[in-house]
Amino acid sequence: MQIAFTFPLKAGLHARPAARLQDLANRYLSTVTFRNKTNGSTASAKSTLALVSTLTRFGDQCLLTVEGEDQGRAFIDVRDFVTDVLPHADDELPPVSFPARERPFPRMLRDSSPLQGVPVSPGLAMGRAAAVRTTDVFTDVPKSADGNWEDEEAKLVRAIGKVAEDIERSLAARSRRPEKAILQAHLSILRDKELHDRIVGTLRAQPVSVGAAVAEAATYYGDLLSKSDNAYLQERAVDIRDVTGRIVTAIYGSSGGTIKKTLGSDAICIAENLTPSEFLSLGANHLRAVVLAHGGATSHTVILARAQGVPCVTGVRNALSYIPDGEEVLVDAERGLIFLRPDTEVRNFYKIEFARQEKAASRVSLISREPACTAEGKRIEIGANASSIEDVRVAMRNGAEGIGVFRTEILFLDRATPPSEDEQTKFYTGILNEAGDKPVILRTLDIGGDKPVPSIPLPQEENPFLGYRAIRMYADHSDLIDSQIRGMLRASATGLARIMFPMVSTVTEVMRLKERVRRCMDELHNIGIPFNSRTPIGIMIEVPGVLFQMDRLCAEVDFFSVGTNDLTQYFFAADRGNERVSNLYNPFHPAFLRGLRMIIESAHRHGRWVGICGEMAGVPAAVPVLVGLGFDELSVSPVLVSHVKADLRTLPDTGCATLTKDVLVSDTPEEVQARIQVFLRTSRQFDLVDVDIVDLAAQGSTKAEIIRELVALLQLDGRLENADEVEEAVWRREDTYATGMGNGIAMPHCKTSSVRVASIAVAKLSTPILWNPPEDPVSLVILVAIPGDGGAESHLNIIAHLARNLVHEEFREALMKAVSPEKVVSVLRGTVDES
Amino acid sequence: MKLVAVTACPTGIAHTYMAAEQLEKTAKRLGHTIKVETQGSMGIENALTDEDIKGASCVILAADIVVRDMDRFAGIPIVEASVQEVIKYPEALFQRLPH
Repeated sequence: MQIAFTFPLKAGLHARPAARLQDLANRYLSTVTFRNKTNGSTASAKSTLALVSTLTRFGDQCLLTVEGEDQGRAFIDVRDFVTDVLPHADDELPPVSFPARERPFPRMLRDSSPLQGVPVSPGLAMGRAAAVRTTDVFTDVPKSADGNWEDEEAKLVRAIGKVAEDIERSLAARSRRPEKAILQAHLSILRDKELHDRIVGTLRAQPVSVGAAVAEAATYYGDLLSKSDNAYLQERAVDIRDVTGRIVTAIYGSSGGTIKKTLGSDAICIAENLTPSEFLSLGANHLRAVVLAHGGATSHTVILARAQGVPCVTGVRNALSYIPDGEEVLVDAERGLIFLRPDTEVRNFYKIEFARQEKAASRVSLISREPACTAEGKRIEIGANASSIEDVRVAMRNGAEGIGVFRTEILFLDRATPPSEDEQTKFYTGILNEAGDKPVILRTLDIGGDKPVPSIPLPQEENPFLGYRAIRMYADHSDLIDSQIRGMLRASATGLARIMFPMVSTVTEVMRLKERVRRCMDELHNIGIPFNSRTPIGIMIEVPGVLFQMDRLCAEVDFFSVGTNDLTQYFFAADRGNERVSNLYNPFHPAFLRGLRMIIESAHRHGRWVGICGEMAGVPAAVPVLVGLGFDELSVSPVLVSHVKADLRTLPDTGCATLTKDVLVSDTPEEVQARIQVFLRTSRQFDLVDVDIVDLAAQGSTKAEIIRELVALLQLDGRLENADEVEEAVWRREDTYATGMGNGIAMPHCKTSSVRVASIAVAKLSTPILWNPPEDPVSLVILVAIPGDGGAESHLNIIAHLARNLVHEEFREALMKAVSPEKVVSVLRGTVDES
Repeated sequence: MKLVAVTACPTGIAHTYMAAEQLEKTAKRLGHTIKVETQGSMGIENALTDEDIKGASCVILAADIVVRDMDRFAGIPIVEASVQEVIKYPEALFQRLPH
């Protein structure tokens, strides 16, 4: 029984539809044969790989033949597949070979083809690729077999089973259909009979290892698909490599070794994945950016990269094979783009971007010298989280007003015996000295099953986060902890030290800790060593139970610092490193925010100081709420200090208080975030025209550059939600009809929700450019940006009036002749006042 | 000559009004009377009344999008132009008007 059809999919017969046909065919005893009459190839429909190998393209004439004892039923299924399923197999998938782009692509980057990934630590960087390799799975595979071919085949079967289990597990965790479809295709490659037969065939014919046989099959099918002239099929070669690579890793284990690589200057590190220690071993001196094939946004390596201000893009699959070592690379970790050998257009685009970032940085650094306060002058300390003297130095340089938490674990790592009391005293004194007249909160040892320290043997635990860690192990390591506390106390004679205990769960624990401190003080007192007997003692709030003991705790301690990373994790009982439950981990959840309010209200009722030292403190969207909640201090990563200080300056505290009232009665974190976004958009007052958005010496030499420069000007001033979307909206208008109006003036404009406030930006060009080649030489460009959500009616009137004025020569001349931004603004304001 | 005109452009933020102003300015210089309706982001402004349209010798449509309420101009000669053309070369447009 046969059915003839014309192949209906634009992408050709690729792995996903082939996998579905294979599934169906394997349900029956009958043979199901696929024949491509156009190119003459034939395949068993019971093998995905065989089907894909027919290299069938859109429009090819095809024939499916069913033969066997159950052919009647099989044929009905096959026919239904051809008529109903196959034509729609790609409907729900993103367009062929291009990952879906959520954000528009800036015009100047349109002709480039960067690699794409997920930006996880923001920033831009230019440098040379430094490949950091954990060895290629196939190269290290043993070539000869350990035993006979049956033993090797058994290894293959076990490995396939294990990989299948892994894929099934990630399948269960995914909800988006395209992702699932791809995983399913991988699964069917993994279980493909032809692939299996080929590998076993090699094993039988030659005395080679199963690894070598898998490598042979990977090469064979990889080459076959690479030869296809269909880009989609070519990419499927990567799927084969992916799946076969996983099989080999399952057999021989992964051979990720430590990194012994010295980076040259301006290095862009390219790697499969990095552990935190591998990342640290790279050294921050020459490292400009990190590009990873794998690694989650909340992995510790990424958190480290963020803390050090190293831009990072992850999820760049096959980064190591696409980016040659030593190649010139530009990393855009704002958009998740990686450019190899960037061309002039790309360079010019990033010249504008780098310049904008530099200007933003210099504005921020001015503010960092001033005391931290809100727009209305309310003081809030901005401190920094530190784990080394270098961190303290960076923090102080960025204007930190204290060290909100100094993590002392670093003193105990990488050594066989713990540091002596004298050594610790010297170290803490150095930290206090570096901080000068700013207070430093020294946190006592916070280690446990998840953070092993060689000199302190601790048992491996099932569930280290709920186990024997931090102060819970102090009773068994009294000498060690006492020497740490004495070291801190001795240092307190030389600077503003505060002592903080991590992971407190009960008041009783605090009483014991205080007793311990008293004992240490007595010991020092008895031998006549100076210390500050009024050294403030505080605790971290990481355990939800503490929220309900606040009144009692306030009587015992001088201050609190909320560790939101752990508190959130314990609050919702969800490990944020586990992608299947990490959606539950959300410090923006109103329930969590209500918890924070509880802490602050109790503490302030008793006159106690409350800081926050979790990552949340440095998240721009969280800052207005933390201000509204009434935190006394926000302690953030050293590199963020000046930025948070700058953000704080723009926040009106009455507005923050109202916002906070609203978010506390919200139902979902999404609602909280939405309210915050509206607040951030509307809290600052802007003028329609302003000297800050006038550039009388614009450098751009093309229309695209000038538009980008103007958009960057608006972005720098905080007037845009998303610069790329605004640029795109301007271009959409330009594409329908260029906005040059003759007389050397162009008036590009847009109306989009990505604009926060109605704005008129002005650029005078050093050299006139053609706005609508070959005509329209332009030397003055007026960019009008209007928010899309209404509320701009009064501005529209002004802009209409301005547009009318531009028709008159006297007005144009006054604008052209204006020699300073102030003058330009006053000419434009004349319009504003008239209307 | 008594003229009426409508201007309209895709976003209706700027060029609709530039074109209107240019038409008014040029008409005045050439000794015509003109009333220009703008169909822009603020809706229809300076709307042409039946009175305005009656007795007009010509309707100028300076538009890059569809103009609303075309019925009212039935029986009157229409001269069409792009907004851009009106802004940049207003004289050329006026030369195209029926005499």
